[in-house]
Amino acid sequence: MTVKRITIYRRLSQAAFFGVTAAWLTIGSLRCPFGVPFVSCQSCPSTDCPGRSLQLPFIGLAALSGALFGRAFCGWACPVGFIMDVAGKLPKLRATISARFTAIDRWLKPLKWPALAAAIYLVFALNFTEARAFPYVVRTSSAFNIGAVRLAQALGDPAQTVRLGVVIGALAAGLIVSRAWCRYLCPLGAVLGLLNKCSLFAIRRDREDLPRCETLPRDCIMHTRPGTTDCVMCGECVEGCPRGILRLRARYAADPPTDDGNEAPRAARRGAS
Amino acid sequence: MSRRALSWIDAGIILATAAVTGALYVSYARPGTPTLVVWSCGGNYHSLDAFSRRFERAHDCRVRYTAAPVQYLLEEVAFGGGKPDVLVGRAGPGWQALRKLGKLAEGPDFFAADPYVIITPAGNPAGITGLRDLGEPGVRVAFSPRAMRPKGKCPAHLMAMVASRFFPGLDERWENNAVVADDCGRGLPSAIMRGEADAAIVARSMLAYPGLDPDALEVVPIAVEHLDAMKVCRATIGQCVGVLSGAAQPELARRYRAEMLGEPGREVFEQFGYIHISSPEVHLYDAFLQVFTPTRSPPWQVHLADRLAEEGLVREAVRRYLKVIHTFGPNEFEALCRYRAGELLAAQGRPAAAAQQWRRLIRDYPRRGPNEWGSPVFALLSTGPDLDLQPDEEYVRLARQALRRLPPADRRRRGAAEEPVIAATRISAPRVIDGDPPKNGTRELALAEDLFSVGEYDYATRDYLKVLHLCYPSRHRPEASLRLGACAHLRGRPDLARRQWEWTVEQFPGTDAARRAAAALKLLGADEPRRAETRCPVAMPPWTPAYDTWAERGMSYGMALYEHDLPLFAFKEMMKLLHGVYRRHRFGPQARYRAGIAAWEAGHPGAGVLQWRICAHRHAESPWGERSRRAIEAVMRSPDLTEAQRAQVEAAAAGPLPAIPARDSPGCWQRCSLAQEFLIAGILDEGQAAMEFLKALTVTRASGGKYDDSVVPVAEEGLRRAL
Repeated sequence: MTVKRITIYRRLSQAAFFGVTAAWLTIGSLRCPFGVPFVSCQSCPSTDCPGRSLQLPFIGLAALSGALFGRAFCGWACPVGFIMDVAGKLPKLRATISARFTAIDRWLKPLKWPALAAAIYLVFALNFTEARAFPYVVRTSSAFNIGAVRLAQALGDPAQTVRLGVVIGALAAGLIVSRAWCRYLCPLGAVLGLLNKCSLFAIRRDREDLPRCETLPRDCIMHTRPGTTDCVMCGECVEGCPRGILRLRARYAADPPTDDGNEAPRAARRGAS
Repeated sequence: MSRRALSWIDAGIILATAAVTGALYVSYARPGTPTLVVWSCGGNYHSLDAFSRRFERAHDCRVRYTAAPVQYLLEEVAFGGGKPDVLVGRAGPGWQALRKLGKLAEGPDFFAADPYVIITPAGNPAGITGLRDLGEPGVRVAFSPRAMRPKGKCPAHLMAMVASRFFPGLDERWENNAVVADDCGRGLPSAIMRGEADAAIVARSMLAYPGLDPDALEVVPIAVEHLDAMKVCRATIGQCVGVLSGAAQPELARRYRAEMLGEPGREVFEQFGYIHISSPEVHLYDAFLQVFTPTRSPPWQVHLADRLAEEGLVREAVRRYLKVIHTFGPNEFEALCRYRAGELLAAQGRPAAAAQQWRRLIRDYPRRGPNEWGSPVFALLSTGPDLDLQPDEEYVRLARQALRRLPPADRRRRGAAEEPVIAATRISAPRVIDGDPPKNGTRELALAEDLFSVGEYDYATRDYLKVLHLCYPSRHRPEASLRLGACAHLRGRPDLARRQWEWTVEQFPGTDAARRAAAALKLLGADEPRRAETRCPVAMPPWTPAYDTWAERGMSYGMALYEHDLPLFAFKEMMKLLHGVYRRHRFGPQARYRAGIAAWEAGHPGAGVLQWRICAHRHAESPWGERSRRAIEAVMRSPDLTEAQRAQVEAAAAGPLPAIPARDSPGCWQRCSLAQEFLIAGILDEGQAAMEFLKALTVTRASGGKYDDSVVPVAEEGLRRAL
């Protein structure tokens, strides 16, 4: 097993964010009274859920990190990403990313766009309806209260049961395919992925004249290359690829001179790896 | 640092995170410790959480405490798989169901009262002294949407009931004064603290929510007689606790209950804003410390609609079915009513209107999610009529079948053929939601729109006029006024349409309704027929609309019906005024005199003369008595009467005066007396007399134990004659 220094920093960051958000994540996934969780926290009467105090800082963090580093939030802070990474560490269940899977993966990845559209529709259909009557808010003093989850499911809208199914399904898929949720279904990831195309900093080849990294996309947790909408900016490729090929650089900075002292070709400034 | 070491560090971080999570779970679960399962109403969360922690410390046990809306918890215990040891919550009908099912070992015992109060910023800058002040101009009110139960629904219900009993129009004025709408309701005290509004109605316990500064808020108590006006929400004031039979920890459960009722409970609950049962102050609220089971109106309304349909009073039956949906909704009968309204319209030879009802049924039902009205608790405690109610899905299936039987042309969606002048006035009908109080215009406008959509323009006019006059100053008035013009146009009265739209432009400048009315006026053209001269030789005295009392509203509404050329319904409103539907007032002689003119205009000159005779006889000293005498003389002398009219007038002027029914209480007698007046006047048009007798036999039974069975033979005899 090859673990890089940057993985440690990333894991510490993920563990810290997981610690802060675990209760919110648990309550949101298992007994949020709204159809789409983590959206309507500011108008939610569930006082036992820390979502109301965490939501705005997290939106701010995602937006700021998005503007600076694209989808780095997914790789460094998202607690679901952490769980997906941990699930992907169970090697016996993880599928080998074969050539055949690569083809399937390519077909499945665009699923995140319909998933984003569906999430937007469901937010309006389930969370923002005037007739929504908050009947199934379940409060308890601990996120560990399994009885409260059972009660929320018993009292709640069928959407809650569907949501529980999605959570279990995503976890199961994460055991087989690394970061399955993040790759194919995460609506927030889809939005942040767009920022990979315009963020202030990007992972790029140090110079256009250097060769493409040969370990990619095989060794990438998202099975992709830097600069794509799937990249979670984990930075592992910076360390994993032969030294000097990839670096985190300001997108619009001039390329360093080539070995022969000439300016790098213009195309290199577009951030492609 | 070697790569191998790093991999162990990575694994270590993951394992440490898992270990911390597991340790937290173990510290929560405390394996081996006796566990008491407590369920409570969501509103009790903070106080019960604190009480449970104290109980855990005192008894070395663990309390697994969960809070959710108590009506669902009660339902889950009564009919689902829920097995808590202790249940705590407001005094709703679910407790009655638990008692009936033998699932309560102890209780329910009341441990506290949590009355509603008005909160203002410190110093009470707007000088609020009671509920009435919340409707005063310039007062800024904070409230929560009605869908939010109970924090939004109950203050709205309280205001509606207080408006109905004490201060007409207060709920509409309060609603119009709203400047802050807090989605959840928990934020209302904070909004007041920040000075964003001058007042809000909240439960007393909300003042103890974490993060509030008690010195920044002032509390104005609500008069108990005002709270007492509440019906469905009165159960939120009394808070009770019960021990479930079959509790896993019966001894602990009993101790928990006993401590809630005793000193430990007093210490905790008073700290959280409740009035504990041991406090002398609680006796102010004795009327609320009982399990409350509301009498439900919708089953009786469906029963009335069924009876109307059986007796062939189809138009009123259709209106009643639609009233069940809008005036008494949301409820479990909506799909049934929509389906039956469609059936009646189809049987009447109006397939397009029937198709419209069935399409709406297919579109809107079955309803999603849990709801209060569909609870089996109500079915268990029901004392209503036997109704063969099927699940919504069944009515949807029947509606699909019925639609397939219609000719394709009728099955299709209508709308393309709408006149431009009508299209210009189209509005989006409001959707009635759970918690919408009665008579704030929303329900009436929704009903009127539905009646309009099935082509019942006369009946729609009645409900639009209710928005304008009975629901004054509803925020829906501009739309109602706009649509009244459309109704008048479709009833063949473009002169009335013009007048209504001109009034809309003048009264509601700057609104969308005024702009649309102006557009409709342009489309209406210049040469419109004017209303024919009144057929009654006696002119209706003018009436300036007034809304301070229910009687003034009733009179304004009745006169508006008359002006909209619906004299039969104007007559009915005058009868309602005479029989106490609009409470006590001084308009008796005047109402009788106006009823005479309305009866004449409705095509019953003899009934008109009879009303004037009664007025002249009963109110001889009143100017209206004198007017009545002069009116009789005028019509007797009038050369314009036809032979038939003259015969009716002479017969009415000659005979002995009939006895006027005097019994106006309770509601069943009120309706019976009203109907008898129709019989005495010989006005049986539109089945109004029969309908009032049927009301005396059906819907008035839902009056919470005030029904008088001695009305039954009288009403049945009256009904036989009316039919």
